[in-house]
Amino acid sequence: MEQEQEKQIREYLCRPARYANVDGVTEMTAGLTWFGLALFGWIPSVTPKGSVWHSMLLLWLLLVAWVALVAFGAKAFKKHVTYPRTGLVSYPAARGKASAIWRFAFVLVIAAVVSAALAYMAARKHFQPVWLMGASMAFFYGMMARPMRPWKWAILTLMAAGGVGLVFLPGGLEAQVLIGLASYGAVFLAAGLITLAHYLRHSQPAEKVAE
Amino acid sequence: MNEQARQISELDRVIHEPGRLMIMALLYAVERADFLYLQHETALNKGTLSSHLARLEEAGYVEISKTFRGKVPQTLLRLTDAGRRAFEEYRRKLKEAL
Repeated sequence: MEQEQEKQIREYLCRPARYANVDGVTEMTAGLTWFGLALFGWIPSVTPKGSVWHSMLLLWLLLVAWVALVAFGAKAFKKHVTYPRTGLVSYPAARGKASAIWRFAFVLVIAAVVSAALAYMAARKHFQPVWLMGASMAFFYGMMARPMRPWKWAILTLMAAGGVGLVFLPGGLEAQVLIGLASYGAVFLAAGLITLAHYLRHSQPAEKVAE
Repeated sequence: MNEQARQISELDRVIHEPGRLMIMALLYAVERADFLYLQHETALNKGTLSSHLARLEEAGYVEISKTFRGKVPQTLLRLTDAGRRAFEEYRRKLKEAL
């Protein structure tokens, strides 16, 4: 009986993390961010050389504004739609400076190892880095799209397999990356919208809940 | 009394009740949450949830603050440091008893 209880405790401890994407907003936020990256990467390729759209500074500023707008929109959605329907949750900030430093160091080490492996493989022409996009997108999706309903596993598999398809697209690495970002953005957005539709259908504002 | 029975008898009775255990576990994983969230996650009715929260507040494990979201009253809840320690201790003892 105590084992059952411990299992239940673990289940309850995991619930708040799953609640972060209960309305699909996390998936939609990621989708719109990938779209922004694709859009601001694509603009210089269709505008005349020497135009203002070739300024890296301007594109970075626009990208930052886009990401801020998406983040602000997500917050506003939570405040006006999610919290009145199924309640508010604030997540703990990272506890302690030491833990933040360790996490930063961990990310740096992982980034260094991945970069070194990519450089090594690219130098020997064994590997097209665009393959990685499918794997990383699928991994990212698996981390953020919880609760993982059965149809989300299908999307995750599609994402991982899609990375291989990107390699066969014409137009070189840059075009493959841009098309990849736009396509993955669309998939994230669609998955988020399905989650949102499901959420809205199965919840209602608190005022309308029977006492 | 055998060792396992003794350990189980030493478990914190305030937390050991299933409804309050759910509340403690949910609040342990967050900075704070509101009454509506707990109601959805625990599927307890308002009266039962309120009475469990009152018991936890009385034990010093939960801090309850009342505020407004626009014109709608909102009850915010968070575990106190004592509540966090008590929950960790409860889990430690429960694992030892397994």
